This record gives sequence, C-alpha cells and structure tokens, in this order.
Amino acid sequence: MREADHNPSPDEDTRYASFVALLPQHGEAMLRVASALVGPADAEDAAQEAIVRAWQAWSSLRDPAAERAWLLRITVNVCRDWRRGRLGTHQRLTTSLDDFSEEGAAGNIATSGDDPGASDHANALDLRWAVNTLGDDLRMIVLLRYYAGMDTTAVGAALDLPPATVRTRLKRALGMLRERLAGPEERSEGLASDSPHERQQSEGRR
Amino acid sequence: MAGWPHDEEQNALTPAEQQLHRHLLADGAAWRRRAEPTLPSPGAFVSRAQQRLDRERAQSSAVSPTDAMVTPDALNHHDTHTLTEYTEHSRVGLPANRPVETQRADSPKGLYRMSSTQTIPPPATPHPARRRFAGGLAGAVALVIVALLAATLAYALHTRQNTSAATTHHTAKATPTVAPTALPTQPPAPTSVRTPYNQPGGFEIAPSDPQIVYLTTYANYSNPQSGVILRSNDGGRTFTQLPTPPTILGSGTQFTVAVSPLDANHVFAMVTNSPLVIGTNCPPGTASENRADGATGYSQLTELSAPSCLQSFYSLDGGQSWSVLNLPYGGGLGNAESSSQVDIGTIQAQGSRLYALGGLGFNSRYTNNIIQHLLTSADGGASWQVADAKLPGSICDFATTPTGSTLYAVVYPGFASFNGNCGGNMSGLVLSLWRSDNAGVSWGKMYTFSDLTKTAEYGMRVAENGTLYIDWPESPPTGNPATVNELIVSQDDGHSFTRLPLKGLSAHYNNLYLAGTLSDGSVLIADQVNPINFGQGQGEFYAWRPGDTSLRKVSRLFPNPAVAVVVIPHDAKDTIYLVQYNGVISHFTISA
Repeated sequence: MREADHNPSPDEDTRYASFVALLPQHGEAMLRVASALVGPADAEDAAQEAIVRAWQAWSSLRDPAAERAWLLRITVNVCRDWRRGRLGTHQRLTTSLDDFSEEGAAGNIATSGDDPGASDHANALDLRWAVNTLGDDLRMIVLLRYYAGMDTTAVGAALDLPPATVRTRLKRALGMLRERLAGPEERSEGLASDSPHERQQSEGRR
Repeated sequence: MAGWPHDEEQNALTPAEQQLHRHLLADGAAWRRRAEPTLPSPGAFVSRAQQRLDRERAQSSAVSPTDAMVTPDALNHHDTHTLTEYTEHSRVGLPANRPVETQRADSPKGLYRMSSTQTIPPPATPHPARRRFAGGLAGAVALVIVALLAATLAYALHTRQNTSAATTHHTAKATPTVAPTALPTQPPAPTSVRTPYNQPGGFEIAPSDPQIVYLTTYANYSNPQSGVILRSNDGGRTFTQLPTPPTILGSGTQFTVAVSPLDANHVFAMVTNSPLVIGTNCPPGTASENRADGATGYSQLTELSAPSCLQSFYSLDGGQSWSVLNLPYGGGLGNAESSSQVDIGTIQAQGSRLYALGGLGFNSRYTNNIIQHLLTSADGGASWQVADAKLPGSICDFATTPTGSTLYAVVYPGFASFNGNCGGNMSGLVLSLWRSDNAGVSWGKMYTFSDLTKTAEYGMRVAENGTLYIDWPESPPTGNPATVNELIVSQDDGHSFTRLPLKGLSAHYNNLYLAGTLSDGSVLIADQVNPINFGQGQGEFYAWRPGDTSLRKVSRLFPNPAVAVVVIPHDAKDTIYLVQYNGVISHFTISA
C-alpha cells in the first residue's frame, strides 16, 4: 500500500517536516519560475501543484544538496504540462507573456539604456511575439534566462542540462529571434508573418 | 534567481546577438517588475502551499482500505491487488499482468474480477527517471538489431529472388513464381498544407468536411486588440475572416471555436476576456460574483485580482452570423481548464444529437467550485438540455457510442477544478465511470477508479465495435514528477479495464494521447516525443486493436506536436487530419 494510505508514522512526520522546511527557502524561486512559464495568474496554482508533486516524490530524492534544482525541475515539468493543454481539441491559449498583454499595451515595456530602440513599444511587442514563436525547448530556455532572471547555470540545473548546452541553445534561440525580428524584406524565406506589427508596418508602407 | 550574463555567455555571441541579448535582459527585467507585485508574498505563498499539503496529507490518510475497494476476501487472494496498491509498482496505477477489480453499485458483493484472458503483459518500460538513459541505450541496441535484421532480410530476399528467377527460367510452366517478400516500409508520407498562420490560438477541422477549417487568433502582447475567427474552405490554404460574434466583452477578447461533427457550418465560439481591473465585475447583464446567469449567457470566472468573463455563441451558417448561446446552467459551453481561459471541449455526435460539456457556473480561484455538466442538443446546437441530471458531481469527460443511445461519463463527486485537472482540488475523492443506455435519462455506476483523484481531461472514446478507451493520466508520480499518460480499455461496457500494452512504442515515447478511433475498432494514439527531455516536441501516431499484443506505428514522425486531430473513416481506411503546432495541416491514410 502507499504510504499515504496509512496514518502518518513518526518517520513520515519527520520526513514531512524536513520537506516543509524547504519551502521557505525555495518556494519563492518556484513561484517566480512558474510565473515566467505559465504567467502570473496561474503561477501560484502551478507552483503549489509542483510542491504537491515534489512531496509525493520526496522519497526519491537521493541528493539533498540538489534539492533546489530538483524542485525547480519539478516546477518546470508542471508548467510544461500546464501549457501543453489537451490534444485533439485546442491547445491551451494561456502563455506566460500573454498575461500582460493589456499592461504591456499600457506602455510600460522594457527600456534599455544601451539602446534607445529597446524602449520602442512596438519593438518590445515584436520581441515577445518572436519569443513565443520559438519551439518549446528554446522558448523555455529564453523564458527562464531572461524572464525568470536565472543565469545559465541555474537554467541548466532546472532543465537538467549542462550550462554549456544552455548557452548553445540560447545562442541558437537568439539567432532565430534575430531572423524572425528582421524586416520582411530581409527575410530569406517567403513565409507569411503573423506579427501584427509587421503587418501594420507593411500596410503603412503600401 | 540572480545572475546576469557571464562573460563566456556574451563572448560566444555576435555583436548583433549581444544587442538582442541586452534587449531581452531589459525586457525580462521590466516584465518581472510588473509581474512580481501581482504574485503573492513568499510567506503567504508558502503558508497556503503548506495548508494544501496538510489538507491533502490528512485526506490521503483518511482513505481507508474499504475506500480503496479492498474486501477481506480480496486481500486473502494472492492474485488480488487494488489499484492503490499497484501505484507503487506500475506507472498508471493499474495492475500489470494482473486481474483488475471492479465494483458495481448494483453488485451485492461489490467486486468483480476480470478473466485471465483479459490480462495484458506488464510493460517493459523503464522507470521514468531512467527512461532517457535506458531509452538511449535501448535505442542504440534496437538500431543495431534492426540493421542486422534488415541486412539479413535483404540478403534473404535477394537470394530468394535470384533463386526464384533461376527456377522460373528453367521451369517456368511447372513452378509458379514466388512473390518477393515485402520489406517493412515506412508509413506513407503525409500530404501537408502550410497555413498562413503560425501558432494561432486554435484550429478546428470539420469532421464532416475536412476542407473546412476554422481557426482563431487571439489577443496577446503583439495583438492587444481582439482576436478573430477565420474560415478556410480549401483545407487551410487560404482563410477569410468571419464576422466577430457580437460580444459585449470589449477589446482584448480571445476566442476558441468548435465545429459540429455533423455539419461543417454549425460552429460554436467561446469568447473570454479579463478586464484586469481588481474589484470590477463582468459587463452589465452578467452574473454576480458567484452565480452564473443563464438568461444572458454570461458567466464570470471570479478571481480575486482579475475577473474574467465569458460568453458563448453559435452559428448555423458557417460563422456568417452569430447568436448568443443560452445554456441550462448559464456559463458557457466547454471545459474549464485554467483560471484564465476556457476551452470548448470535444463535441461528440450520436445520431442527430450533439453532446458536449458545459455550465461553468461557479468558479473561484480559491474554491475551485465548478460544476461541469453533460449537455445535449437535438437542434444542431441552437439549444441544449441537461443529460446528466442524476449524476453525483462534475462530469470530467464523456463518450458516446457511435449508434444507439449509450453514453459514458467520468464523474468526480465534487467540484471540478480549472487547472487542467478535473477533480484537481485535492479533496481525496475518486473518479468513477457511469453509463446510461437511454441518452442520459438514467445512469448506472460501472467502475470506480479507486486511486485516481483527478484526470487531465484528455478524453475518452467508444469505437465502432463498442470498445471503450480512456486516456489515463499517471496518478501520483512514483519518483519522476513528470506525468505520463497512457490508455486503458474496456471491452465489456465499462465493467473492467486493462491498460494498453506499450510494446511497439519508440524507445523515446513520452505521453500517449487518445486521438480518436478507427473504423475497425482500433484506437488512434498520438505520442508527443520527448518534451520532457527538451526535444522538439515531435509527434507520431500509433494504433492498437483489441487482441493485439503491441502497438503499431501508423505515421511518420511529425516535427511538431499535434494540436488538433480528426479521423475521417471511409470504407476500410481512415484518413487522419492533424494540425501541427506550427500551423501545418497534414493528412495521411491508414488501412484497417
């Protein structure tokens, strides 16, 4: 029988106490990762789900020193399931960056001291559009690196990847983003863009 | 969470990439500045998480052996195991190569045992945590074996052909020629159409005419205006924007659509929008905070910080005109799947009737109090009636038999949740299967999934031959926190279940999804490959027919996950249409 089907034993109480003691240390990080991956609106639910799953799998953690990476990996997996939605009908529409569409439209998009162009609202909108067009693996890395604010070592730990692999993929993602953010006339392929900003620009030129 | 670019990270980038890197850093920081104030404080979050853990732990402890359907007789039998017991030993909570116990409400003894002929061999699947390594090793070994077999087969074929040719040359009239043995071939290449839309909001291919495709775009940061609904009459090559349903939910709305299996021009749209203003309600005419308003067709998805509203519409002319859909319980048509959006779930047909889930009446982020109903329509979807009047809880999923008036429903005896899991409110209650043979007038309990307290709503189907398939999420993980779906099957009208074998799957399989049924009674299964391991989220299809000992691969590997699948049966063949995540529509035909 599963452990959970019995009344908790003193041993289990001890294990539970040790697990709960981790939450103040790592809960915030889990919440912020979830926020970047599924959006602030669903972040708490997703992070809570990750905590529940982590407790259910707590006995399988062999290396206590790896608990943070382990918890973040669970969070990432929960968020991936969260986003995956159901097959056969619709893909879930919720995406992390979408949740701030209205606020983004309110004009408080990122600014960069290095490049005044980054403060341009439309550019920032297109940047996030481009991020969302990446495949799941690259998009995940970009979101964790830039929107969760993790360094490549932490991203690698959360994704069970070497940091060098994270950097390689990050570089590939940047290359793809650059290509997608290039103007229509610079595109080597003739695929239609569904970036509204680009369409508006094109229509404006016409 | 700190840590800004390492030197080596930047050194590896070209100047142009570095510039983009800086833009992303800045945009990410700005995004966090806006997101973090909306998140709960760490202390509050941890406190609530611990409360939930405590609650779940207490409720799990309260599950007695009786609750898990173990009788003394059963415990004394060496061959008898409960689903709960098997959680430790199998990844789906169903016994591997063991009889399955079932319980019927109308059974005095309460236990049924499946005959030994219905057992299936245990899956030769490595533990999920080791699957990546084992998969790689198994893949390499399999590759070598396949290469050796192929070489042997080719040599044998070559020899046999030469022998046959020589024999034929000398004794052509006396000895018939031997047909060359067909080498295993890869499934045929699909025919694909690249739509002009990459990663839209939703796709629907009309089962009655796959040339008609509906898609929705949605409001997002790059499109802060409303999403739109478009229609293609040429299989996705070109699209025309349809009139927007006359919602009063304002700009920024997003749509999901569903199309009737019976008529490609009967289409349904769900409109959602979140004003994102704390303390505001949905527009006038909508329900109060905790009440759906059936008269107006509006409902409010209540969140403490950002109320969301929804409205359902139907069109009987291919989307040229829209009418508000009034439902028995108010709310909308569809599945509650997340706190911020609603998905129109599968609409199934039986004869001229339609069935769908609906009625998102009560909803709160913190109470998860959604009741989801099974609804039916006899007029193409213009009006809907309740088909689950006597079922004790929320309907997580349902299936209709192709003929007759039999319905199946998976019921959760409480409120459904909206986080993608029906029954996900962790109350410790279990799901059960119910059956009606009179179109929902009365129901009988068929089976209790004693260890399954929630389902991911991935679906259930009844094949032409009456076989019932249910997508089965892995219940509590046994080491690897990632969930892995598999399928269970019943060939006796829901009295007992077995799990599908995993033999025949690629070593890198990940999650199995029920994608439909084929005309010979097989189930069509989609496997999204390796998203756990950060692959490209590829997908491939398998089929399984009752009696088979392994799955059979029926498609090539698709480079992107499928987001919509439709099976069009004709004669002894079935054509599978799928939409990939990148907006490519493909179809291929498989023989029964």
